[in-house]
Amino acid sequence: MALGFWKIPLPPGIAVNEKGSEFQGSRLQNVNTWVSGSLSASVSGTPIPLTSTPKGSSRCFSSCRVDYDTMTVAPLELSCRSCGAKLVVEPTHRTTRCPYCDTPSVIDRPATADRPDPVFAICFTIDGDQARSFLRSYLSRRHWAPKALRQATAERVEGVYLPAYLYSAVAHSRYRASIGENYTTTEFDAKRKSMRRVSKTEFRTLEGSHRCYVDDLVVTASEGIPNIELEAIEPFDLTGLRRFAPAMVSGWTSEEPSLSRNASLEFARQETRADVARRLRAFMPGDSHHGLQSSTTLTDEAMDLVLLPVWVCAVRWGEGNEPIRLLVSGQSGRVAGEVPISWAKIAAVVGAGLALIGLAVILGALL
Amino acid sequence: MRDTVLRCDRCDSAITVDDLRCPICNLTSSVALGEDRPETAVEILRCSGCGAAMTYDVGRRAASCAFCGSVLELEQTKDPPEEARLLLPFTVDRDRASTALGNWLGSLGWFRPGDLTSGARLETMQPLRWVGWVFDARATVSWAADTDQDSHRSDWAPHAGQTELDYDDVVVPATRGLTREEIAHLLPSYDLGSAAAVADLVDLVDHATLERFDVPRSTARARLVKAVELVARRRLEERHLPGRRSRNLKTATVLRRLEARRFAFPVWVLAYRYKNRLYRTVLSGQDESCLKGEAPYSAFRIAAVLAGGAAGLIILLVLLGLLL
Repeated sequence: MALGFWKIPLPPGIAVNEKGSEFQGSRLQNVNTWVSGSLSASVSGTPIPLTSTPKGSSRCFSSCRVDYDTMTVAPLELSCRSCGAKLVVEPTHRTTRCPYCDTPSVIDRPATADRPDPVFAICFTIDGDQARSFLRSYLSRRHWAPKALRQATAERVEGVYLPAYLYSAVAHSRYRASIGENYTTTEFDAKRKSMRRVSKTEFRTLEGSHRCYVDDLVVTASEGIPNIELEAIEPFDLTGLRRFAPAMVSGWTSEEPSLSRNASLEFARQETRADVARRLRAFMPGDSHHGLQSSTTLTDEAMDLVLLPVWVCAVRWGEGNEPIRLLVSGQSGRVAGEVPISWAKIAAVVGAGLALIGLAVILGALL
Repeated sequence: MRDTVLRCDRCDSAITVDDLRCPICNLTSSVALGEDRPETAVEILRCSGCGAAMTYDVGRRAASCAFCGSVLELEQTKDPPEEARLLLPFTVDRDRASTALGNWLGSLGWFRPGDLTSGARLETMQPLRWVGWVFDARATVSWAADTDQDSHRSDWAPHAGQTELDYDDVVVPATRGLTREEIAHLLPSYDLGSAAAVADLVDLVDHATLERFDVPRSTARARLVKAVELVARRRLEERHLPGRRSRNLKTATVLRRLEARRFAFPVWVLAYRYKNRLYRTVLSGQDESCLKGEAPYSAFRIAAVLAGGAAGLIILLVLLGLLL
């Protein structure tokens, strides 16, 4: 039931919601400038030796070596401990409810590389009713959305603990850039036959090393919710992190990671590189700079599974329209999702504008 | 509650058993990592009262039983308020403190009222301990800046570097009672080696008020990290940047081995009254010559000097005029 609900197909060709598309856009751009500007095409570059290697790097990242066959896990069959009925638990779920006696159970499978045990969870602090009202006000603010959608209410709202990874690392970068230093000089102006002051920029090459911690990066571990959708309801307040306990998810849908650890790790590294590139741009001295090239090595990486509270909402609107899926953060109430726009509305506004201009032209001709 | 018993695997900073993550580099603490289970287990959370299954309840922020309403509280993250652990003893007692004030008032110079020492009346003298963190750490600081070294046509040339900085016994005050200037003046007078735990303290003064840290542990660490950055910038500007002038200093810090201890520093707060006005002075509890405070100026004496100066100038001008 819940699985089917996940797979609501998103209507094709619908513009990504403003916030998400902006962020994704700038992020992609960052990655592009990064790659095109990078000296070494391989982003990992040559490792920079640490002056002192922090301890424990083995624990940080031994789990990176991943065997892929762990992803295919058969559904789990068990009998309800309460009424004895047969239960089938999908491999993507950590929790289930017996269809006969409604007893909630929490399943704890042996950890594998791709399906580690959750270390942390953030509990729901926003309940279903609050999520619905956040959703309603979000939809009513989409002025370009079809009227039917702006007034729609969620058909179903399901609280899901979404698996995500919390990533942190030490980023070592080598960079080179042309730093512009402004100066003023006096020049002879041939026309006016006098001296005048002009400001100019001289460019100097700067090379150096940069080292920083990158932390609190959250990337999705679920195939159902892509990273871009998760980013749209971030940030999560990580001071709300609790050590995972079954009591937090009992009675709720809790997903197991469905993306391989390596896939999530790639997301995380990509985001980290974009973040470091951003930091490096801000790090440059001078009045301006251009041609920033850098290569970054990540060491002491650590990635822990965290369960995030998300209300997954299906909104049905109008006749014959595909339902849309929106997410509401179960911690902050932030809403995100793709909301279609009404072409009729846009056409009406454009038409009204044209009519006004036409009217003005006619009036002008008459007077 | 025990304090620093663990070390972060990544940055080697001191962490407590209550920390789920390292406060410096955010690495998950080994305490938070659970144990692996060899076989699949299915758990049903049972209410201890009525045996019904319990589910997580958003309103109560805990697992609760829908039938009898009993609640299974979740583990809470601990963020206790900070308390001073190490106290520095008073080595200046009450008598010497009041004598020190008298001596100080007498040493202020001619611009103060002539009867300051005799006219000042000590109103209150309060022994107290102000609190602060004392930390040790190592940091790799990457920096970039414009300095005047090797500059060509522009006044500035870009420079960059990476420096290992050591922090030994850096004091970060947490007090609200004393001003920044007062603390800067008092700090050199303290002997950190004399610090002792409350139980072992041998003190000349009884019942000194102990100031409280007004921040929880998490805020304290954020403040320490900020202090590390500030100290790093100052040191870079003083010692590591080439040239004499600099601008646009940018830093990135990788902090390791941060260990903070919580100290309480003894101080005498003395208030004296002179001609219906109260003046406040603070005196180090460990050095009677280290005193910082306010004292009145004598308006009459300053006016007299100004008038004398003006008169002298006029006379000089008149004489010059007569001569020429």
